[in-house]
Amino acid sequence: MAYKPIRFYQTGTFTVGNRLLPEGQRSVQADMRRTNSLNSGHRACQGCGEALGARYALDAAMQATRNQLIAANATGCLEVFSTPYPETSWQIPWIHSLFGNAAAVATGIAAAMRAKGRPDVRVVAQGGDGGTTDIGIGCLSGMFERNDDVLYICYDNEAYMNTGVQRSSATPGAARTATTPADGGAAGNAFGQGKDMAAIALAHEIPYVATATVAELRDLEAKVRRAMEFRGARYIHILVPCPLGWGHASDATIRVARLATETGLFPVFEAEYGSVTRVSKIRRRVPVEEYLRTQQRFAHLFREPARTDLIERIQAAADRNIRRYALLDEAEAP
Amino acid sequence: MTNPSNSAATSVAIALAGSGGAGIMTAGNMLLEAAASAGYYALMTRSSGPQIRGGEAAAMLRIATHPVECMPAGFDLLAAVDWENVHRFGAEIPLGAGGLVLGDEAEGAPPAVFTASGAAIAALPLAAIARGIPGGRPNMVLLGLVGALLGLPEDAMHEAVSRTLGKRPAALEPSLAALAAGRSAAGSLQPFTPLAPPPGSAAGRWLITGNEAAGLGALQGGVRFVAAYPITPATEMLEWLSPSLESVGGVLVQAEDELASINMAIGASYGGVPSLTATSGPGLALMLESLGLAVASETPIVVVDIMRVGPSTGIPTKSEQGDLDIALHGLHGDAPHLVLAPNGVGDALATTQWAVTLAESLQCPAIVLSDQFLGQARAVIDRPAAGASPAARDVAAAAAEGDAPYRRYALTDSGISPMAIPGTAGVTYTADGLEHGERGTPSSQFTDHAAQLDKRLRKLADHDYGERWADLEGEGDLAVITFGSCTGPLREALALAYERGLAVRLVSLRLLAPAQPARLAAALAGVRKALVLEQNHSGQLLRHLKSSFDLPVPLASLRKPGGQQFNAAEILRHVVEWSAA
Repeated sequence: MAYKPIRFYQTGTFTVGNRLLPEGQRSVQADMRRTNSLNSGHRACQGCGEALGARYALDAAMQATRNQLIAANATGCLEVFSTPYPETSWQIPWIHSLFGNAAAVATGIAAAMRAKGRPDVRVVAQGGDGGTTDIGIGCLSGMFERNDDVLYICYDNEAYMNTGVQRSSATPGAARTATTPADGGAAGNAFGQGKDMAAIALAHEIPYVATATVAELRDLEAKVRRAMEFRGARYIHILVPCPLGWGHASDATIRVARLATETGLFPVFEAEYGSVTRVSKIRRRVPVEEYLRTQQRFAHLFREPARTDLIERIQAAADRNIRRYALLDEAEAP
Repeated sequence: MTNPSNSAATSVAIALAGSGGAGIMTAGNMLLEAAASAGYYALMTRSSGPQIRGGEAAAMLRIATHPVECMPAGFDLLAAVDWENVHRFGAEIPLGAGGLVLGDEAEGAPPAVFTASGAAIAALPLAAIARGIPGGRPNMVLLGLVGALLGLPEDAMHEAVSRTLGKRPAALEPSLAALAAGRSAAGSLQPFTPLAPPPGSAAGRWLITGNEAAGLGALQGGVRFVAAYPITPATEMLEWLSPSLESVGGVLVQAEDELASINMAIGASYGGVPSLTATSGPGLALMLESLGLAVASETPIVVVDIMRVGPSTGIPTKSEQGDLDIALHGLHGDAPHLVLAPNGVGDALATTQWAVTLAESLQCPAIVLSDQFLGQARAVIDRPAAGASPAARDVAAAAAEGDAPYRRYALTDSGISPMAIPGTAGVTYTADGLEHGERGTPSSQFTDHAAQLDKRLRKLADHDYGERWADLEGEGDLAVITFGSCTGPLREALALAYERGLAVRLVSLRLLAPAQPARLAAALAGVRKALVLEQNHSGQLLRHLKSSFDLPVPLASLRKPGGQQFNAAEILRHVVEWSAA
């Protein structure tokens, strides 16, 4: 009888990582030699999706570059909660780039590494959705167009959180923020103004574009590792729920991120040189209402009189994503 | 200050503190509102840990029988629901020697940083009392306790809590019960000097922040379009303006960055609507290029800069007067413009309104330098006198065929030339950042450049700014010159100096550019020396006074960087030393 190892652990599930897996399949976080690029002790809120996403992304990038990594960081929650003395949490060379300039500062670092003959030292730029899609889009588009050797990571929590939850151009339609209140006129953020940043990156035909969420951390790590295999401009857009700004429980971050993908509102895919190469299929499709109900920022849709028209509009956007990225198997497609 | 020998105090400083989520800010605002409705003057500032949510928090209040514009050197009462990380406020909440530190007995001894001054310590079972009331919370017990210690009327406290929680009946009843429990627990404490009776009723007074006041000033000045980008500590001004503008038929747009917001405002103003943007230092730096366009094209525009500690991100939640240099000198080319500074929470209204009026009538940009302290402090003020006074822009009338060609940049005696609103028949023109002749067409001729520079300087230099260029108070052969949020503590310090027989004049500059050297020299007639008071590291006001004014008196400097406001005792100490030197 052939020897067959017995596995006492789950695979193919949402489990983050397991030390018993073969080395190539292990999560970076399960590795005893992980760098802890973003160390404990920072001042993020409980349940912060961005802190989680940044730790996994940066540790994966560190592992992929054999710890030869420099990070540039735009102003935003990540910068604010991770840097103030004495709680500075960065364990890697790190520079604050002001608000709209992370891509440009990173381009400069990459140029310096080339001038010094250090192609082994790689550069990551990171920012929130405001710093990426609003004030930073000019520098970022320039970085894409020149194909500078930088991985840009956008942690998208869909509003300006550290200044008190103002809308950004990544805020979804109908979501309430401090600058899109529900009093007077139409409630919540206007529809149709959001920027699909991953699609914009795709249109630049840069070597690598991917989206990810903090609900699938193994997928996130794999995408960062894949991104570091390319030279030139790369972009990863990570959905990071914000308990404070979205108004959900601190322990619901992962669940909310998963619902964003299972509804089709946030398509998860990979693309190379302008073409989508892989999508994460929806395993259990849920109506958008299930996602919207988890968050206070959408609560006004369900008060009497319920805004079924707006909910239908959001559902239509999810259905469009599902069709556009073929997120469901043929038989189930809407 | 507490005065153990007397039975009542005319001013009491209280700090409420606790860990995140303990409801400190809620309790602080309720205490402030109760004091206001009971007829007292009051000022509240706040501080919190650097984390975005869930950090330790402190509400600092001063309640008095007279208007108050700054915190004192020492607090009379520190009341905390718990001590978790509250020691971090040690530098911000200095306890006076006669002070009282009040905490929960289950929390153990208060941090030594508060008790080192010799302040008395008292403890009560706050959390245990709250547990005895279904739904009761310790912050409400503490609020009831503090209200009783201060001698605030029970109905005023009741009303403040009801007003805040009125929409949430489930929270209101337990809160009122906790408030009453706190009030009755106060009897077991040692006597605390209560407040003297209030100086009147709340009628005719406002409870307002400097950012709200500046927003109201903009509305009263006729601003109907605001474009802005979120930045601490200017954001509240936008959040207040957003619904307020809508209610008067105006519009607020949240732009994608500061470059967009200033240029949207320039566009709206070119289109004929008085426009404004609000920001802080880093945003002002980004806007400077566009301010040059507003100067050259003679487009009215107001930029409110709520200054914070810089450079770069600095300390975004703390105050500094560090943007004076770029406000005065940051523009490229020879670019005359207006720089104004409100010197109190209420004055933020009048000065912003004045800035709109001046910008509109002089067709140029105006920068208003407020700061984090003035902007975020919440104060009881006497209702400002000025009402709405929509600014009057000199607008060109439609021209008929056969009229002389419209000259947008006509070289008038006053330097002000009628501005056409796009769509007006017969007066179409190009508003150009390129140098131009009188008709607006670009010109690279030296003569046109010199003539337009003269015109743009003349309209500002020859304007009569009246008496509002500065606040002048007191007499004597000494003077302290300052601007902005240093004025409040200076006024209090000089009143104390006067009580001690030392007469010193106060000069608070409201109009910083164009400089008014003749007026300042006249105000300093008979003065033998002057002290320049400002909150920045390098002495920016001192340099301004030395470079743009030819003052007949020697100048000394009293300054410190931002992060901690001046208090009256500190200024008094320096003024006394300086006067004897």
